[in-house]
This record gives sequence, structure tokens and C-alpha cells, in this order.
Amino acid sequence: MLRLLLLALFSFSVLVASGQQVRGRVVDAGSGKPMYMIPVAWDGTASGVLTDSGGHFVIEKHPKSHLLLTRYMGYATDSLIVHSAADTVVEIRLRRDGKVLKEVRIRGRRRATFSKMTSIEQTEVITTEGLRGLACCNLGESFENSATVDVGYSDAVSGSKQIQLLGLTGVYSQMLLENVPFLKGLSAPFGLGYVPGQWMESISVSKGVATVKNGYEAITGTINLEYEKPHKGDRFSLNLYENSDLKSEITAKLNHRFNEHLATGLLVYGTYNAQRTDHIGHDGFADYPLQQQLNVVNRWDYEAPSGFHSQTLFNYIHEYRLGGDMRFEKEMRGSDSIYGFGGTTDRLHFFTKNGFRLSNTASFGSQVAATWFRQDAYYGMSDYRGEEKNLYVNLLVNAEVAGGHTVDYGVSFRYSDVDERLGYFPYLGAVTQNWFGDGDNFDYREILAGLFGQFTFLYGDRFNATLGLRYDYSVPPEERQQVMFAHYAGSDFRSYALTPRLHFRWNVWHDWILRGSIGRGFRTPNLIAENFGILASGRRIVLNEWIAREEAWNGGLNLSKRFKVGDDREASLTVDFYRTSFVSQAVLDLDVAADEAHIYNLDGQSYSNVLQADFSIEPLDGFSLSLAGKLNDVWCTYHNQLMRKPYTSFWKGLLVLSYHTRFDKWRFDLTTQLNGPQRLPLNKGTHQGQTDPYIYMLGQVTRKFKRFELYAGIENITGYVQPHPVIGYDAPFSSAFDASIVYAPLMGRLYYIGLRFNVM
Amino acid sequence: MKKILIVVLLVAISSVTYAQNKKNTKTAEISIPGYCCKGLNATIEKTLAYERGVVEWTLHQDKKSVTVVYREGKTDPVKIEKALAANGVRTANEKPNPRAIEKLPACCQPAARGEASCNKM
Repeated sequence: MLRLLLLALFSFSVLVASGQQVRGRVVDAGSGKPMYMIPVAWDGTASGVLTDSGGHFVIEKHPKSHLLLTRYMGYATDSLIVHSAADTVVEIRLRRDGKVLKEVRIRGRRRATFSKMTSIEQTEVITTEGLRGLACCNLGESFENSATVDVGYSDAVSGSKQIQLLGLTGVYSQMLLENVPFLKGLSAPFGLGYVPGQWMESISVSKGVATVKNGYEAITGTINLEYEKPHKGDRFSLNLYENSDLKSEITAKLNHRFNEHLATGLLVYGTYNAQRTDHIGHDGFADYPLQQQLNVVNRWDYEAPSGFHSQTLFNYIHEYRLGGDMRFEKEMRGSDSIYGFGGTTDRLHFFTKNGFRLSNTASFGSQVAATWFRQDAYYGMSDYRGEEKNLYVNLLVNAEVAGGHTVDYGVSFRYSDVDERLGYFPYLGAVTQNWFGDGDNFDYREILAGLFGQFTFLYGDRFNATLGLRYDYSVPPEERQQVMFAHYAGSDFRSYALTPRLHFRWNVWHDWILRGSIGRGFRTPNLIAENFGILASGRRIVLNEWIAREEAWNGGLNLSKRFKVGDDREASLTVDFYRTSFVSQAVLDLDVAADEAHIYNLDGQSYSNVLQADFSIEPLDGFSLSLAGKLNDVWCTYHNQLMRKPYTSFWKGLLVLSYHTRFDKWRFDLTTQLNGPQRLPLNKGTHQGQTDPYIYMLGQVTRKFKRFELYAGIENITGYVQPHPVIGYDAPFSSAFDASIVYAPLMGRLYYIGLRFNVM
Repeated sequence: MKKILIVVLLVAISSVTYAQNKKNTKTAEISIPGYCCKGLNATIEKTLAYERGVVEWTLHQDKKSVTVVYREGKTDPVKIEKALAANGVRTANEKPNPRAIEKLPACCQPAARGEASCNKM
């Protein structure tokens, strides 16, 4: 019971605007019988519910109050402290006399990462506490302490990073911002750079298929980001960062509360690096492009006493990058003698979430999000222009049915208008071969309407299971659409998608928790944006058929246990296995020839098996250690041959050490990653076949003072880098050129210092 | 890691000797009427730990107060009370910062707001 509450304290919200719920049961402590019609309310508020005949209750978590009171004549008033309520199940035992105050020991410090024991999905949460130990300029650098997510560069000129979850690229997982779809479509290639690390309050990474509430995607997992909330955040905070390559960053956060209902927040981020360096390969190519970014968020939160809750967020990003040859300047765009990379991106994102209670046991939530995205980029002489507009509407109802079980149902609508244009590769004269329609357009428009429902079965706090189903109908595509809802080229057009998903959580024995999930998922590929790295090469893109919507099944099991070591120490152990198997997939085949990239529909098997184990312990006060290991077994059929998927480590090991002195005055963090070998695709370079394993380390020291803190750290302590990331750098406009073969860090040892200041 | 631990130890030792060498200390008892549960201890201690001129302190849960030994000239009881209030602790003379109150453990919040008094520890 106490443990459960502790868990609740450490949990974060993963639910939608309809709010978090605390469910539980009131029983007579003497007889153990359920108590009927007992009021349960949040202390100091008017929101309360009555228990049903089984003693069960479900109460919306009140944003202000954390004290759950149960008062009944003849019984002592009981109170429970519930900080965060995501999927919390509590049991209240009322005693006939005497006062009982269950006090929960509140630890002064949050853990850096933890796995959520109470949620039905396997979720790993990276907290602010964890992010503070990393320089984490942006989301791409926030997963260093997690073995679940792998991060790598997509090519050696653009500086953009890609994530992998369960051995597959990040596009098969769903990126959410406060439970609303966020980075998708064309935003994917540079998307990790659009989320400043300092803005985030937490990152939740769930493995396996998600529930059906957020669409039919999320095949390998969900990454949900929570930005700082204006009601809770400090009035002002500032972060300044500078590294040894003269990259500067500034993050400012301002929160203002008009009254107890209305609050607003302004988040501003800017980055600028003044110089290009060429430490790696000494090939005349910049290690990292010049980069400027301005990123602004304004958000509004309104909470009415009636329970109505509204959150609205506006985000604007402007980014400019310039890389490639060290001599290249902006004006030289289109030059056929000096290779340059450049790009300008503008992105507007908006969401509004509104929720209210329909009754004591039901709530309604709405999510509306819109994105406008435009990118104008070039790699050497190939031009890329992408424009995307999308609108997303999701309406959902959560209601309790008899016996504490719940149902969720709703409708969703999505409109995406994607326009990708790829200019010529004059050095080879090769645009995509046998192209349909007018040459180089990869346009499509998708109109999707969906219906979904799920049922959550609850058996005390021992077992719960969620069975969900969604049906999505797609308006038939226009003729010139390249990516469409046909199962295969031109024939067998299918306008619907049926997505079943099942999750369960079972407390098997003494808090050994077994979780499982299985389900189907779909997604529409964006052929160029998702394979952006190949543009940084002289490879000829060969596309001979219409690419179908991708379809895959994912299933997995997870066993976790939290131990008590001694009086007050905790240790946790998690072991999980997930398998993803594709029914149809857009395959990028780099192994036909070293100067070609073929894109076609999967013909044969494509799967990923991933086994991972995590262990963490706090052996001494202030000292914590976590250890993780992972095996990736990822295969795909390339031109009738089953081969390992390139750029996927066969295994990975991780050791995270953290030590802090009393009152957090000093803090030391050290992360060591052991990256296993990867298979390289055919290329024109000297390195073929498998890569060597390598060690990547980073460390940081933080000193905290009364009003500010200073930090200094080193990235890539061992200094291991890929020796010659740009293949054929002396002939960048020929088919010998390939900067897309990246398997190791592209930045050498990097020192940084920073300052954080805040006014509560 | 070993090196880091040695550095930590050195810093810890030097700061202890530094504190002992100082004279001109005074003692003040600061009343904390908002003290309601042990959850507040961490906040009080953390505040005092970061306060310039504070040498040591003793918490008296029964008396709802804290005895602070401080260096004269570096700080005074008024400054200490202000620092506590800035972190959400209600003292005899200072009202706490409302945003900081929300970061306190739930059991301490009503008393910090001045909404309720509590009798039980």
C-alpha cells in the first residue's frame, strides 16, 4: 500500500486532457468488507465522489490538492497523499476509532529515470532530474542514459540525428507532445533538434504498441514529452550553455499566473554556433554545420472550478543550417565545384486540449492540433523542398462502467497535405528512375477518419487489461498520389485499416509485475524525409513501384520487480522482449550497388527481435548506479536475401553512475555506453561489412548555489570518432561521394560549461 | 569515479574545517508556526544549507522551531526567515512564496498557506 503511494508520487501524468484519475476502494479495516456510499474528496476542494456498493470509487485528480480525505461518521477520518494519479489504485481501510494518518515519507529528490510500475504500458520516465545531469541541448541528446532509445547521426553533413526504438528507426514510434501527435511526417528528419532539453519536464518512453487512443501508428513505441506547465513552473529561469566548438545556447522560461485559474508561460530558446571545424577526417568537410535556431512556445492554461480544464500551446521554430565543404558560403548555392549543404526550416505547431467532467464517473476530452511546416534544403546540387500542413482532431470519452471497469471511446480526424520535391542530381543525370507523374514530386494528401473504443478490465490492483480496436477510413487518394492506401501497386485498393490492440498488467506474486502487449499498426511513409541521409551521397535513387502503406505487428512481454534493500533503499529489475514483424514496408535497399539506393515494397520477411534487461540500485546515500544490456536482432529481406538491417547495433551495454552530496550541492554524473558492431551497407569506402564495437562516455559536474547552478562536462570522453565519415570527399559531385555511411560519433571530445538560474 | 570521490571528500573536509574556524557566531531561535509534518524538514534543511553565514542548525519538531547558529555580519534572523519563506516555509514574521508552497509535500501545504493549523506531528 505504502509502496503503491510512493509509486504514485513518482509517477507523471500520461493521460489526456480528460484528466488523471485515482481509483480505489474503501473497506472496513476490521471486517475487510467494502463500504457503500462513503464520501471520498480532495482536501480543501469541493470535488468528491461516493463509493459504490462494492466500495469502489473513481475520482479525478484535483490539480491543487494532493490529500484524499475519507470521512464517515463513527470512523476515523482517513487521508491519503496522492501526488500524481496516473493509473493509481488505492485502498482505504477505515477504522472505527482513533485517528489514522498515513504518512508517506517524501524523499527530497526525484529519481533520474524510473520505470513506471503502475501503468499498463511498459514506461520508462526520464525526469528533469535526469536531464539536468546531461548537457542535453535538445531531445536528441536526452536519451544518453536510457538503453531503450538509440541515437545516431543520419549523415555526415547535416548534423541531424535519428532515434531508434526496438532496433527500428524512430518513425515507427510515435512522438507526442503532451499526448498530442507532434513530430511526424516531414518534421521527422530534423525533429529531435526542435525540442530544447531545458523545456522538458519529463520524457516517457513506452515500448510496444500504444493504446488505440492516439491513432494507428506507434508500432514500436511512444515517446511522450511534457513541457513545463505554467501553473507549476518557476516564475523565471534561464540557462546559458557554451561548448568548446563555440556553440552557444540560451533558454529562458517565464511563467505568469493571473489568478488561480489562468496562467501563461513563455519558453524561448536560441542556439548559434559561430565556427565550423574540421577535426574529423581532415577532409575539408565541416564536422558539424553552422546552425542557428530560434524556438518559441507560448502556452495558456485555464482551469475552472467546475472541472473544466483547457491547455493551449503555440510553437514557432525557425532554423538555418549551413555545412558541407569548409569553404562553402550561403551565396554559393548551386555551385558544382564546392559542395555545400544548407537548409532553412519554418515550423508552426498549435494544439488545444480541453476536458471536462460529464459526471462523477465520466469525462470528455478533446484534442485539436495543427502543424505547418516548410523546409528548403540542398545537398550539393540536389534540391529538396518540403511543405506539410496537417490538422488533427481527437474527441474522447472516458467512463466507468459497473465494477470499476472503464471504457474509452471516441472519434478522430486527420488531414495531411504533404508536398516533397526533389531537384536534380546533375552529376549523374539520374533522378528517380521510371517515375510516375511529373518527375520529382512526392506529393500526397491523406484524409483519415477514425473510430475507436477500448475496454479496461480491472481486477483489484492485481490484474488489469485493456482491449482496444480502431477503424480508420481513408478517403480514396487522387490519381497522382505516390503513397497510397493500396496494398500493392495499383491494385487491391484498401481504404480502411483495422487496428486491434491488447495490453495487460498482472501483479503475479509479491510485486513481480508481468506486462504484455500485442497489436497491429500502420503508417504512411514519407519516402524522402525518412531517408534524408541518402541525399548526402552520390547514390542514384531507384524507385520502380508505388509504395504501399506500411503495416506491422508488434508484441512483447515485460517482467519487472522493485526490491527493498535494507530499510530505505530500492533496487529495480526489468527484463523485456519485443518482436516487430512487418506485413508491408517501404524498404530502403543500399546493398544492390554501392552507388544506388533502391526503394521498394517489402517482398519477404522483415522483423526485429529485441531483448533488454535493466537493473538499478542506490547502494549508498546519494550514489546510484544503473546497468542495462540489450540485444538487437533486426533483419529485412533485401532483393530476396534476408540480411541484417544496416546501422543497428547487434548489442548495447550501458552503465550510468550518479553521485550527489548532501543537499545536492555537488553532483557528478558519468555515463558509459558500449555500442556493439553494426552492419554497413555496400559503399564506395574502404570500410565494408561489420563495424567495430566502441565506447562512448560522457560526464558532468554540477555545483549548486542558492540562486543558480553551474555545470561543466565532457561529451565523448574517449574521443572515439568515425575516422573518415565523408567517402569520396575529393569528388563530391560524382558517384564516388557518400556521406551517408555513419556508424560512430561525428564529434570528438567536447567540453562545455553552463549556468542555470531561476526565480521561484 | 574514484578521482571524483576523492575530490568530493576533499571539498567536504575543507568546508567543515572552514566552518569550525569561524568565530563571532550568534544563535537565534526561529519559530515556524507552519510546521506540520516531517515532510517540511528537507525544505528547511536545504534552505539553511544554502544560506550564507549559517553555521549549523537544530530542528525542534515539538517546539515548531529551528535553532540556527550564524555568523554575525554575514546574515541575521530576518534574512534567514526571508530565505525560508522564499522556499515556502511560513515563519513568525514572513509569508511564504505561493509557488514554493506547491512544491512542498502535500501534508505541509495547508499550514504553509495559513489555512489550517495542525496539532499532530
